Amino acid sequence: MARAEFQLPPLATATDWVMLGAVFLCSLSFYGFRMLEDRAEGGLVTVVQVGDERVAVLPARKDTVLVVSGKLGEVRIVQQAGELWLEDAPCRLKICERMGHIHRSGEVIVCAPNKVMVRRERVGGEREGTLDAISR
Amino acid sequence: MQSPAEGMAVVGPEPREVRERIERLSLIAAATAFELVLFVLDSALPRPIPWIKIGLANIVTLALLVGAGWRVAAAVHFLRITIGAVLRGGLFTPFFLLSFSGGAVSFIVMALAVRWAIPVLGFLGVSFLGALAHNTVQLLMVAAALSDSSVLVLLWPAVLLFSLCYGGFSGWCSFHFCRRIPQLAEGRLAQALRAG
Repeated sequence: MARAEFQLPPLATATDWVMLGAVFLCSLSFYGFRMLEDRAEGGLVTVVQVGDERVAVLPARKDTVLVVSGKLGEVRIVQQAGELWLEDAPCRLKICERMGHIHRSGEVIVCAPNKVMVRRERVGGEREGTLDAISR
Repeated sequence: MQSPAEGMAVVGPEPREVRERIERLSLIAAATAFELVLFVLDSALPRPIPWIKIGLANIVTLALLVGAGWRVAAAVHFLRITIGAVLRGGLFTPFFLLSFSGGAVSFIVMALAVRWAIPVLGFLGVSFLGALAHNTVQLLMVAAALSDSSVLVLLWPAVLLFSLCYGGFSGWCSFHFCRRIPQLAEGRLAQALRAG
């Protein structure tokens, strides 16, 4: 390419703005939908999964400490006053511990090296009342 | 007293090919060092979501893709990922695999966008696509490790939003980085490397 032919691309084109705007709206609408879902009827439960296997399902309002065996070792999951967090995990980077506390439906904490996932889910009101911890 | 030149073979002007190779290696070395500095800085910055980084090193990769061509950009990008993993003590660990796969796909997406979509897209668009590809591949790998696709559904909107913010920021920085370096801004580097 001759030197005269080279032109530095612009910072942003109209296509860029359309694409970025559409992505922004998509993300906002998802979070709006999740907020609506959070206000919906039904009980909130905590689902603990190791790999593709559910090892525990328990009501979100129940204060408890769960110790779950993952691929690398034991993960300590704490649920207190409606909040849920991973207190101790054997992974090296501790990203899961730094993901902080979750409390709403659809929120998730993942410990990828250990293959442990903890998430909040909304279920029918009657089901939530009958659930207790189911552990491996 | 002997002069330094005595006893040494007289060396003529370096062949053009050797000089260009040296220039290219110097550029790769300097850019890799700069990317590593940005990579370390990025690791030290606080993050709202722990597994999503700003991607400061991407600023240099995109600038090189535009101003110096994909070969130099690829060399710098993959050297930085490998040396960065060595510095963190995590070479060939699951974290390295996540980082490498995300980095590779992100680079391919940005290189294709620079080659084929640049009149339609600008720095912001290309950078956003790179950030989105990087984070989506990492999320796919986590979903594969967990054998559960629900993690994709739950976390992808966050990936979209943060790719938008961080990709946009990297694109903006990359544009101004290119503008301040005449060799990149005027395409002189790309032209010289192509000629070499």
